[in-house]
Amino acid sequence: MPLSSSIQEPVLDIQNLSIEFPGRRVVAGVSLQVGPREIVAVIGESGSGKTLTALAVLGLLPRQARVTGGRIMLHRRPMLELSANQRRDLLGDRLAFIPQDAMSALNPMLSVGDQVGEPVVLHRSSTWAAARQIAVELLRSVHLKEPEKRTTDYPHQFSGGMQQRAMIAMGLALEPELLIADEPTTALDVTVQAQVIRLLREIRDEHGTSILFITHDLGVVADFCDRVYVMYAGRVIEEGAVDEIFYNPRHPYTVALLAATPSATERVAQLNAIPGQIPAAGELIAGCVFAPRCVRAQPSCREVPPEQEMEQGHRVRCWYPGGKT
Amino acid sequence: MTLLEIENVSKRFDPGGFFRSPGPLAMNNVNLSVEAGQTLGIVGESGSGKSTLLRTVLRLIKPTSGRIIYKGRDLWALRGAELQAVRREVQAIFQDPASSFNPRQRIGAILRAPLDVHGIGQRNERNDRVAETLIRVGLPPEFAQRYPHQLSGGERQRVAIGRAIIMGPSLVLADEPTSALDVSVQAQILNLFRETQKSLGLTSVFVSHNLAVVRYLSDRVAVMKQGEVVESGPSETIFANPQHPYTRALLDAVPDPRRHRSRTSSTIRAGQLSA
Repeated sequence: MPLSSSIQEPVLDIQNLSIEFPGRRVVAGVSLQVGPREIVAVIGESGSGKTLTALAVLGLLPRQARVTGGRIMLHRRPMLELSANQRRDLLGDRLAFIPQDAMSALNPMLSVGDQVGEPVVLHRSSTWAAARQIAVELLRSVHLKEPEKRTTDYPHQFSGGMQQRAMIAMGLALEPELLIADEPTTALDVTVQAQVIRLLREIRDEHGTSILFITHDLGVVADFCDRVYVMYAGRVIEEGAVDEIFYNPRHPYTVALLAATPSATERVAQLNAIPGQIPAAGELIAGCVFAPRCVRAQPSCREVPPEQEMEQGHRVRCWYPGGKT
Repeated sequence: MTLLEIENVSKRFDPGGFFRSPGPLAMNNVNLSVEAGQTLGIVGESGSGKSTLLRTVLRLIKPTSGRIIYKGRDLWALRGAELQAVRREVQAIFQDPASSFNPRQRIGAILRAPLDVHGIGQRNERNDRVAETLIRVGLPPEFAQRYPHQLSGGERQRVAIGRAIIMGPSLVLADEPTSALDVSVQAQILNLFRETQKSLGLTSVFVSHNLAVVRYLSDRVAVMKQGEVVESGPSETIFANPQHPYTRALLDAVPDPRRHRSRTSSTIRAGQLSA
């Protein structure tokens, strides 16, 4: 269910976030909100800053990266001002993370059951015996077959899809307010991807968990999310309800991205490729970041692009947005 | 004219060791044929045997049984000069050019290598051919002086296409040629691949897990599952009217922004697939 208005207090509220590596600004003034029970996608290609934005919320930015401006609130908690200990109390409890590569996120030396139950021990002072019982139930809730038998297995005995289910079970252990998933299905086969996505949706429906979903896959966004932020070169260039973005894209980049995506369900005679390439991370561009590749670009685009509100909740950073189709 | 025939090809990877039981069949009795000038797309999930199949045609993996016939000759029975000739005509493009290029060689040397190996032309003729090829794949000839790490992913994949066509091959084999690229760059490479193939009259076989990419590039499609071809035929027939339940399941599972636009509700169709 889409965020109807700003009356509802968002679970996650990012305002004007900027992130720099030494000498390179890689995220520039990103604002983003996730409402209660909302599934919000951040879509972008390499270097768009989508993953760094997510990592900043978690306080897991790479060592060289620095937040140089902005504010991140998780239910009124100022995430950027928390001490390491305070943040650790939240991670795995109120805020959970599902990474792209479950295999490397799981500890190969610990059984899956112990890892899935660990948040309960760490945050709720449960005993390990009780945590293992909870782990069985969690693994059952993510539709792992025969969870009683599988809890003593090690990660390498799981398939890629099962590992991702175990990561999701771990994330759900304490019913977090917000689940951040960074390309959780990219490494999976399409049929397994469909199952994982169905599972995430079910979790939102049953537990009311808000989900921030980082992806490069337009298809997944269309099938699964309520609202979407399109990022390009460290900036949000268009945002709106999924239907708005797919039926009525306004930013030339969003339009071009849709036209450049091949389809399995429709015959496409000719793909319209976007000329040029994605700017290198942190490359300084005066004015609109997409102007060098944009078919609609005018000289004025070399200046700072405005933020325009098209319809309610549909924002575009472009001087010459495409018309309603 | 049939350029390539795959006849009853099976491959069993032997885990080795006297007491080990033999491994599972990576390919089980695969039969496919490719007409000259056509593109065959092989689609399947991980472990379906699609890459193994491609590698048997490249002579990188020897089939356990069956024959691979190229222009009427058994590819695995060829020796000496005949084999050399076939190697000139059959070229490959891999998924990740970052790892299939020598990082210490300049792009010019990488492109010239096949000409050097097969002793084609004089040195300056070879350099001319390198420059022509770079232009053909949409890169400035000055790129010959650069190293692979100085190129973006899309530019490297252009070079990979260049290396495959510089010999004037008849058959190009490609393994996931665009899966490492971003969508906006992928479209450029897919278009380049198609145009190059048309203008040079190439025959190609390529492997991908991405059904959308397969539909865009292929004349014919073979769907593989657990080492077997479960369905094959003209691309449009298979995508418009899939017969095998597995093909249908695959197509249903693909999330697609275009399909979204043709629907009113955002119910997740993929959710109907059971484990």
